[in-house]
Amino acid sequence: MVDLKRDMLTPLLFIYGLAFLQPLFHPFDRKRIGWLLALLPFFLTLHFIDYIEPLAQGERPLEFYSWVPSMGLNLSFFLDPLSLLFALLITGIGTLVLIFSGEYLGNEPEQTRFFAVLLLFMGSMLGMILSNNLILLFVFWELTSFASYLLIGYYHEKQAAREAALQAFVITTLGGLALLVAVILLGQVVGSYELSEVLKQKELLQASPKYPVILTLMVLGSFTKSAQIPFHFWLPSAMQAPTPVSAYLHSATLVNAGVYLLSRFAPALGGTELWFWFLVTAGGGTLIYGAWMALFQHDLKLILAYSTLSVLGALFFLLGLGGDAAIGAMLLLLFAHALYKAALFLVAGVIDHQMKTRDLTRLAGLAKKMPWVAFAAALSSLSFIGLPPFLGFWAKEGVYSALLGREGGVPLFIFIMSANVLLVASGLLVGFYPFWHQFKQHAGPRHLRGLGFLLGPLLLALFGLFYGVVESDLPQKLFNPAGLAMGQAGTAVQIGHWQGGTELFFSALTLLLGGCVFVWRVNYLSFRPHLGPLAALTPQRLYFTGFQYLKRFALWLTEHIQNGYLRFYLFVFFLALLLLEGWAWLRLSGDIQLDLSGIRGWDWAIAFLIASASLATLFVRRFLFAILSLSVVGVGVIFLFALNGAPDLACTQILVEAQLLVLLVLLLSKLPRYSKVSSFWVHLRDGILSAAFGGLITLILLQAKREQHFSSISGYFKAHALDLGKGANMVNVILVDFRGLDTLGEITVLTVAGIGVFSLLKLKIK
Amino acid sequence: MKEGILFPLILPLLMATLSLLPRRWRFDRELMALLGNLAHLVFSLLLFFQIRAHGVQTLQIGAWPAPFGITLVADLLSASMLIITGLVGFLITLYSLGSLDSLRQSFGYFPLLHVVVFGCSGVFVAGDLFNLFVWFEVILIASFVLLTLGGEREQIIAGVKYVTLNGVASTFFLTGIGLLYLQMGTLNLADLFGKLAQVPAGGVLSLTLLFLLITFLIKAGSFPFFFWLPASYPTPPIAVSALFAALLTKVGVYVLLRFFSLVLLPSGVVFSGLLSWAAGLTMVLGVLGAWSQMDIRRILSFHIISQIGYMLMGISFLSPLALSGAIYFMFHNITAKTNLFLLGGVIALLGGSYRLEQLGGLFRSFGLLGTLFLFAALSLAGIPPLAGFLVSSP
Repeated sequence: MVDLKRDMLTPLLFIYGLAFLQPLFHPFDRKRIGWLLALLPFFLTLHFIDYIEPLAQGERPLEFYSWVPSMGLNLSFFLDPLSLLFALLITGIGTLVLIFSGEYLGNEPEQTRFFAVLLLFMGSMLGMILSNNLILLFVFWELTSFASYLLIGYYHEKQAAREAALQAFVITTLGGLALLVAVILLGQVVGSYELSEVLKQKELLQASPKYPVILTLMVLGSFTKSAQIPFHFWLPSAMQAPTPVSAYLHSATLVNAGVYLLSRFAPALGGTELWFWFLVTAGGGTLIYGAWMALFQHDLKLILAYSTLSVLGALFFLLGLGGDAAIGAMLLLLFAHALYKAALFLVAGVIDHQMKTRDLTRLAGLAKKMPWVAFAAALSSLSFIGLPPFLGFWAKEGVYSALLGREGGVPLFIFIMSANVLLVASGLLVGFYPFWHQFKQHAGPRHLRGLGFLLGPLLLALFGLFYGVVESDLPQKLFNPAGLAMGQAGTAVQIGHWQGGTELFFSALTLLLGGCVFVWRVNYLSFRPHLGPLAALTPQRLYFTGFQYLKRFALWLTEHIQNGYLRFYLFVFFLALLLLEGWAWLRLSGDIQLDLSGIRGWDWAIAFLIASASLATLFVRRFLFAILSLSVVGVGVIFLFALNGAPDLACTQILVEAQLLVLLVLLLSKLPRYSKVSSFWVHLRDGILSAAFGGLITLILLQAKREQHFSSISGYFKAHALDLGKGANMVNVILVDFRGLDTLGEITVLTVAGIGVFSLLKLKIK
Repeated sequence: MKEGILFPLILPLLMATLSLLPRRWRFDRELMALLGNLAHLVFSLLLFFQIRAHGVQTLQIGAWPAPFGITLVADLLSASMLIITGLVGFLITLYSLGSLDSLRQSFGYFPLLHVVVFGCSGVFVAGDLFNLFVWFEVILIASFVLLTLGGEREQIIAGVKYVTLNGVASTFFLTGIGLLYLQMGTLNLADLFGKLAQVPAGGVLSLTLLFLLITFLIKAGSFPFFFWLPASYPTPPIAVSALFAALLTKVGVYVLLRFFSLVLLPSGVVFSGLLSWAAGLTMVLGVLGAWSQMDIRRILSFHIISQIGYMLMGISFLSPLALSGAIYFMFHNITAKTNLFLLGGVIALLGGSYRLEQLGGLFRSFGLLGTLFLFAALSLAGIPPLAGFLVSSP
């Protein structure tokens, strides 16, 4: 009996730990590293199998640790039959994929990185379906996107791989962002981020005005992750990944994350009109689109990728329909699809590895060269096309009976059946054509070695047969409880029970028509439909064009803002200050009463002197005159100080001005010619800005003088300069005693300036 | 011990002075820089624990009573900033020892580094607006000289822009200080906090405070005042860029935090709408800028701007959670961004260029470096569970 209390965090820690530690194992046995690493998910699979029984009896283990409680983020996990279904797929298929990958990568030097990321993915995916906390779920969700990014870009020296990786990442993280917002909104509406709390609040959520927003964002997250129209295009591009990755992430687990998310929230968010239309339209669209596109590919992996899109579409479609039968069919289809699709991807991986091509037009007669692979491919493909008694057949039966049993379900049924006809053809194309079709072989096949290559496809294919034939309690133990967890009264999942004749008839018809399409397709293998001018409107194109334009826009904008001209920067500084102050004045200060009474006659005179000297600086044409007129400005300032009771400052200013004048005149012969760099209009513009700035300061100063709220602290200095500071000159006492630290800082400034001058003169690194 | 607050100031100043002495009168300059910064870190840690145990520490310089003399104040935020300053100082010294040319090292690099640390430490404990101004000047001149140290053409051009724009900021600052003193009669922050609450909101006081706000926005590198940052950061040796990236803009953000809580909130004049707009535009323009660049240092420079936007956004919300988010983000950003600059230096050393189109295949030979960069970059991108993620959530 398993310990139901603390069994969810531990597997995650084990997987993450293995991801970090596995580089240590490689030196010992590079060849069998896959087998070694697969031990962990293998035992985890057994571990989760142990849960089937107790969960079916209604146990719901929880595990809780506080992490960042102030943000509602807890390490909180739970397990129910729905999560268990996914957990079994993740660990079970993960085991086989790890074994396969060891063989597939051979002795590639970078395989350590591959296994690290693959394990990171496995842990995150498992963490996601086990999370009982919305924020935690989001964390794992993003981690899976990130792992997928690294795995798609595994062959990072190929540009196509990098671009595909980035594309998948951009799309899925956009969805992730939507999910985050949805999660935060959910938390706000419900008042808790614990999933089990949120799921109980169906009425509250669906009555909330935020419900449409939450649902839209949630659906956005799911659709990006599970590659539904119009976000589907990253999935075919993601076939740049090594094939085991495609088998694991892009058919069996990662792409099902979106399905999981919506299935999980179906009891709380599902069943509304909006829900129905979202899922049925996008799901249905992807279903038919994927099935259609799959038919016209040459690349084995692309056929599989498009057919995966199609099945994912079907899952959302069924989820949107809702009801016991549809949900049951969905769960069974999900399970069957994961098995046969992973197997077929692995088969494609073997072919690619051995033949160095995946192109259907160049492959033939492989059944002789690799009979066991052909056997596995045939079995999986039969499950794919839905031949009795394979698991895929029962899934299809379920789908058909769900639709036929539904009121007004006939148009939907015709729709889904036509998609299935196309899929049958694709299934035959992948599973049979390259093996049994004969023509003159171009490249000689290499001898197939390694049980690792065979184990995955064979086992997966045999599972599909086994569970289709053997009377098992899988429906009662796994699918029906999962349906219960999704809020259904129970699912009508039937394996091994022949349904009515109608379904059987249509199944046979589907196979027959599919076979016809297959024959037609084989005869016209080079045919590919063209979209014509519509091609420019595909989301893929839109993404690329949008990306290009946005990047060009970013460059254009940056070049115009950060244009390198100091005068522009200064202009913006002053203009921004002026505008902001003006805005604040209008908004905050109310009326302005200009009160000039405090200004004495000589103030006006000095102001006039300074203003005209500044103006003159702008219009003189020689350095000497410019320096002189600047000196006049300085003299004006000296007078201002002297007349306003600051003789010390006036003295200092005289020294500064005199020194500056002497220095500049001495340098006069070294200066370049006085050149005019800007036009009259620029002068005028800058002049207006300067005048406005000066005016603003004047206005504020005048106003500030009228709004003195408190008397100055300088009274203290006057009173205590002599008795406490022991100095008769108050300014000096302030500088060296009252505020000595300021002076220390200014001394430092001067010293550093000295270092600066010294190094500028002495140190020249070219 | 009340004087504990002084050590983070005295130490770098002492080290700077000692490093300027002729060789035969002093220890090894490199060793002093290492030990000095390490000691700074240790004393900051001690101060931190002292504050944890005994509450906020204040010191009146020269024992002149507040608000007449200069007050130094340290709370947990100040102490944390001091700690990270010491840490950054220490690590960058270490990095400089390996990466910086000996010419620059012998022409005052270490004293300048100490003065930057001195100025930043001053900002973090300043309890008086004018004193704050002085610390800004100390940082400005020391960073300007560091920026131009070596006298390369690019450096001089960048230096002129840097010092001019920041000089304008100083003018704005001083104008604001003068106006504020005229109206309030005091510049002591605690005193202002009390007095501002008694003054009716609005009036010319709000214009005065806007001057100060704009100054700090310039210092923080916010829209539309960030020009000085991308103009200057990419030009000096990478160790200097890393130091700037770690401390300069964060000083501005820190002061903004203080300014909002100590001055703007009690005065009733809260420009939070203005700040949100500035923050939003800073985020977007920064990230667009980063995207359009190909030089690692320029990418990172623009990226700093974008993230300053996030911090400002956090401040503008004025809620405790958002503020703590902003503070957390600031710390996280200091470590992650400095790390990226330093790794960028290593990349350039190995790959021979800072430009992405001339680099490639480094992962093959230096896998660990790539992994390190990945972690820091992901942390910046806010990928869970690295620290950056926690920040983006509130």
